[in-house]
This record gives sequence, structure tokens and C-alpha cells, in this order.
Amino acid sequence: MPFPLIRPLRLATSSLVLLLCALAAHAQNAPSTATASTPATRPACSSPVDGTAQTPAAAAPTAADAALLSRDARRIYELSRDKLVQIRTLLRNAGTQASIGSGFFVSADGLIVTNFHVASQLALEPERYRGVYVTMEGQEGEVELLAFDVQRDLAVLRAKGRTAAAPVLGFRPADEALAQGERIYSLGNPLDIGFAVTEGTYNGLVKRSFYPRIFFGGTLNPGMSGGPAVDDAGRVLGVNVAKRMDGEQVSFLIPAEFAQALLQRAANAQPITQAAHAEMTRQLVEHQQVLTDRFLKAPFREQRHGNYRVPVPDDALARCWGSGRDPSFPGLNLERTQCRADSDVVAGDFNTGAVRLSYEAYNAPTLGAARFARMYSQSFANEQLPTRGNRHQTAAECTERFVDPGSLPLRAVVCLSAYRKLTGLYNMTVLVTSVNQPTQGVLGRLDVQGVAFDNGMKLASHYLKAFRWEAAP
Amino acid sequence: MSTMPTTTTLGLIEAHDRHGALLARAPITRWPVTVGRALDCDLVLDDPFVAPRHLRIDRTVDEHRTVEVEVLETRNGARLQRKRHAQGERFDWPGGTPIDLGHTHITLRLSDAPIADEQALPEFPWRTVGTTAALVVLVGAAAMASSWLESRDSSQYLKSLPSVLLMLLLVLSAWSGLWAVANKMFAGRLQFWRHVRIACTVYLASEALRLVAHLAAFSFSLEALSQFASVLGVLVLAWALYAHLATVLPRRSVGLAWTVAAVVALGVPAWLGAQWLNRMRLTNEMYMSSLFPPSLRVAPTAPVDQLLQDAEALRAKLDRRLKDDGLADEDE
Repeated sequence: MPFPLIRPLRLATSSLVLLLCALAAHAQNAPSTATASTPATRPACSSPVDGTAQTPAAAAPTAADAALLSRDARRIYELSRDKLVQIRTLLRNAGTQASIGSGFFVSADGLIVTNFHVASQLALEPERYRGVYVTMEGQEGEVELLAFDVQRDLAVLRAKGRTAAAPVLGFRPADEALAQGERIYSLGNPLDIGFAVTEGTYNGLVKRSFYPRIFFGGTLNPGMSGGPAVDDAGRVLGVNVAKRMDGEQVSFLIPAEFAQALLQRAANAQPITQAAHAEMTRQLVEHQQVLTDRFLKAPFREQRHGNYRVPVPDDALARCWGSGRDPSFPGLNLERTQCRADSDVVAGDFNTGAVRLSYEAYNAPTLGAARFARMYSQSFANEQLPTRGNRHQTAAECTERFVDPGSLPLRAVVCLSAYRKLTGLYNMTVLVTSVNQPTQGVLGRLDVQGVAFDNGMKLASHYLKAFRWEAAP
Repeated sequence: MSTMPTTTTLGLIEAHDRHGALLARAPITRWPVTVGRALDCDLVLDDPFVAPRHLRIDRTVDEHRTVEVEVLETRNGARLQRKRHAQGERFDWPGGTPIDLGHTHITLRLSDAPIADEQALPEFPWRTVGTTAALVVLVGAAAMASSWLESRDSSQYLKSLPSVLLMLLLVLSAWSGLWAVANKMFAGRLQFWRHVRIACTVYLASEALRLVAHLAAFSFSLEALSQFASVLGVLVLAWALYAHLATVLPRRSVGLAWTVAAVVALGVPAWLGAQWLNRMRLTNEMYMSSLFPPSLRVAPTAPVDQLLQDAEALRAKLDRRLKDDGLADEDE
């Protein structure tokens, strides 16, 4: 994929943006899903981006094509307009909007599919929030939450008190595979401006995505979360979920098969009226189990820094970025690596499930042992850990000692902090520094979010045992 | 008056204030001698805590020739060597000891008491000057070494040296100067160089302590030493405070020692307790971050599994935090 390489490390950590649009008035609590790491998303909600409407024109090379395309888009729009809804989360007492997203009817009795991150407040704080749907004609009604899938970011709602059968969008059968480059359409209500259809292309599945995601070559905007993406015949092939902030028209859809699977689970489910932390925790436990299994099954790749061999995840699991010498300091050779598995999931108003690794390899033969030790200590001391608890998790507790996995003495620190409402899940950080050379060293850090204690220990062991020193031949 | 017949001086009675400054002096030409605020006393004092006629001092005519004091009509009495004598009491006044009346000390010199030999003028204090110079040089060397440790290459280091030394000089003289001003106010002498010596000693001691604490923490894998190095630093600073204060108020050194000790004894536990209440840990340091050249490591390495076995203990600690840390409503 063509990533701009200006700031690759920051790019790798903070560029995926969910399409939930939270209104400015409640921006404090509601939208941290998307904004915790990317504050740039919030202005997109409160100040509409004028450029959003020009996609079809820009993509069309000739006038004839343009006419054809816009006719298709209009057909899709006409086909789907009564099946689309906007999902609003309202504060129960004040009745003001906390966040908005999109959704679509999938059954005549009023089942609506949307994203979990659109409905998470209904799942986790039902005593404070209620949900409503608004159709294109402005008809409004209450919704209740039936089921959600945290891992895939999906939720199924039911429109309450409908008398007429709802018009329904059908799913495209899974065996009819789309060809790369095929034109598809995404629908939703961007930025609470009005219902819109955007055209784009199907580009297959996203590489290295932890759960399957469709790479949609079109524009998605906040507020379109949970809206459908349909093929030429108006059949749903995916659900809008996120876009990349650092790219143009790089957007993501959840494959429809997961929505269908969740729909089956939801069909007979009771509405969720109590805070569903237990169910969310169950799903996150499942998630971390899959994550742990994948990491433990694939042996780490070895990355060389001089004679050091440090573990980095398999290419299929995580994306790594590296940078070389620090030019401000000629006596030092510094190599940095950051790897990140694309495994975060939204857990209400925060994300969890991410796995990150980073290394700093130092080699400063001219600096001398004392000065190197000082610089190395300062770099080691720099690592951020939660020293104070908050409402999501406790402060970290650490244990540390000198360990030797075989050929390389290390100072290793294992820190964990516990989630308050996700019982049995922890954020784990492992810090490692090599202590075998007077003027060389490698600092490593592994972060695993939302992991069970035992799995955390297994991952830490897998990680620490993969450090090696290869003496010169 | 010139017509007055010359008489032999039997002794000299002097009054000093609490700082040792001379308030009044009277030669003794006959016994007894009276002391008080009244103008007809032989030694007239201006102390409001002294009676008009406070003491009568007489000398016995027997072979001992002891000096005898009678406490006259006074509310506060008199004090000799911490013993209080009330109105009407009589006591002997041994030579060379002061009597306290109100806020005044009086002393007595008798003409027949042996006179101490003349003291030689103090020689130039080479030793003290040498100590001072050595300390200042050591401090300069320590500051240069620490800035060398921070520097990345020699040209950058050489460029930074003048400002490091200048800064050191400024801080040292400002600090010692302030103490010297206080010294002048309370004790009448500047004692600038003594304060310089104290400041240098404290700087060197705290640097050495920090180095030793962190080195030992690394070498022997004693994390607690690096976590509590700052507490040890506080003890050194407390000693510094005591040393400066005791120089300013030398007569109060015992009380100052107790005061500083009490401040430390209350302050350190209060600080640690506040940390504990706030974050359920005594220090903010999450892990030992001081690293030294690998050859200085003495503690053995353990297998990775040993570390993870230790980490099992975190489960219970985190459970305790979940239950008791009181931060469940805290926003990030």
C-alpha cells in the first residue's frame, strides 16, 4: 500500500479512524474511541468538510462515464433510501445527542445492523443513554440493543414499536466473490448532514488485518459508521467501519458474513437493558485467546542489530517501521523499530487488544562505558507506564530482575495493570535492556493490551526467550 | 571626680546580653556590691526582668575568701549553673561562672584570681584554607565529571565547561552568601567560608550517596536502593540544614539538632504516607532504570521462567489495587 513515508512511526500508531461522529456538546465522553489517539477527527464532525462531495466527479475521466456512474449511484440510492437509518445515541435525561452513526434494516420485523462502536454506549451505559433511529423521511423511533460483536465491531438493534414491515436490504451471497476493482457503493449519513451515497472500488481484503476487513477504495466520513456497502445490485457486501486519516479514499468495511452471523445470534436474543460488561469481557477474552494463539504459534522473526538478535512478529501478524542513525549525535548509531499488530478492538470509549513492540538499538564505540551507561539509563528511564489508575484500569505493578534466556543477560521488567470492568483482563508491558556490552545495547518494549494473566505470562516468556547474542564468528 | 581618693580595685563585675555583648561594667572597690536597676546599685542594669535591688555580693573575711551572693527582693530570682535561687536565698559564687538575672548574664573577675597567660595570635589558618580550597576543587571536579557524563562529544563538552563552572560558582556563592548574611545578623560574624565548606561537603556527599545507591542497586539488583535514594538524599540535606543553622546560632545547636531531626522524622513518613494514600506505592519509580557497565553487575541472572514466577505475585497486588485504590472515578 502506498503509505507516505514522512512520519512512518507515527503513521503506524495513530492513523486508523473510526467513523463514529460524536457531537461537540458531548465530545468529552462519547467519542474517545476515535479521538483518543487521533484528535484530528473531532473537527471533522463539527466543521463539515466541503471536499467530501466531489468524489464521483474526481473519479470520472469522461463526461459519458460520469453520467453512467452517477446514474448508477442514483439507482443505488433510490434502491436503498428507505432501508437506511441514522442511529443516534441520546443522553437519557437531557435528550441531547451524544453520538451518531448509520445503520440499515435487515429484517421485516425491524432488525438493524450497525457498528458496535456506534451502539457501545447503549451496551455499557444503558442507564445513561438511549438509542433512536431516524429514517430518511425523518421518522424517528426507539431502538433496543439485541447483540453485539466487539471483535468485528458490529451490533444488531431492533426498532421498537414499528407496525409496518420494514423495507429490507438483502445480503450478497458469500459464494459470489467480488472481483478486485469492482464498483461498490457505500451509504450513510456523514457528519449528520444528510444521507449520502459514495462510490468506490472493492480492493479485496486488507493485508495483515487481524480480522478480515474489506479495503474500500472510496470515501467514508464520520457518521457513516454502520452504514451498508452494497454491490451494483444493491446487495449488502459489507458494513462501513473506518478509514485511514493519512490516506485519501482508503476506507474499510466489515465483510457482510459477520453481520449475518451476528444476526442469527440476535434473532432470538433478549434486549440488553443492563450494562453488558460481562458479555463484552467474554468476547474480549475470546479475542485475546485468538491473539495469543496466533503469536505463540508463529515463531518470532529475528531482527539483527549488530550482534543482537531481537524478536519481531511475523510479517503476517504485524507491520514494522524502522529508522536509522540519529543525525544530531555523530558518536552514536541508533536504530529504532516499531511494530504493531492491527488487532485493536473498540471496548466502549477506549480501545484494547493492541500488540506493540519497539526496539532501540544503540552502538556508540567512541562514547566510553561511563557515558554510554548514563545515556542508556536515561533512555531506559523514559518508558511511560500508568503510574496512577483511572476509571478504566489500575496503575501498573511491576516485577524485575536480571534474566538470561541463553546467550544474552538482560534486565527485564514485567508490568501489568488490571482493567476494572473487564474482569480478568490486563494490559501488560515488558521492558528489556541488554546488559552484556559496555558501549552497545538494545532496549525492547512489548505492550499487549487486554490480555488474560496467564496468556500475558506466556507471551512475555515467548518474547524474552527470543533475545539472543550472536558472538562474532 | 578628681578629688576622690584613689582606691585599689578588688575586682571587676560585668554584665552581658544573651549574645555576649557587654552591657555594663563596674570596678569593685569595696564589699559588698549590689546589682539591680536602681541607680544606687554598684552595677546598674537596664533589663526589665531585673529587680531594683536584685543581688548583694559579698566576700567572706575567713581564709577561704569565698564570694557569697544574697538574692534580694526579686520575683525572678537568680540562676547559677542551671540552679535557680529564689528571693532570700544565699549561695556561693565560684570563680569563672556566670550568674543569670532576667535576660542578663553577669560575671566576676577578682583581683587576686590568677590571670591566664597571654594567647598567641592565631596563625594564618592554612589548614582551613587548604580544606576549603580542596573542597571547592572537588566540587568543581564533580560538576565537570557529571557534565562530561551528560555530554556527547568533547567539543560540546569543552564548550559547556565555562557555563557549568560559572553556574556552580554563582550557586555556591549565592547559597553561602545568604547563610553568611544570616550569620552576621545573628552571630555578628560572616563565617562565609565555613558555609562554603558546608555547602561543598553536602554537594559531594549527596552526589556520592546517589552514585553509591544506584550502583549498588544495579550491581546487586536491589531495586529498593534506587527507589529510596531520594530519601537518603533528604537525610543529607537535613544534615546540611543543621550544619548551616548551627553555625548561625552556635548556642542553640542542641535545640536545632532536635528540631531538624523532628522535621525529618515527621516529614519523611508524612511524605511517604501521602504517596501511599495517593497511589498505593511509596515512590514514583516503577522500576530500576539506572544501568552501569555490565562488568559491575554482581547479582546473578535467573532463567526467564523465574521472572515470570515472580510476576505471579502481581495478580494479588492488582486485585488489591482494584479493590482499594479509590481511583475508579478518575478520568485519564
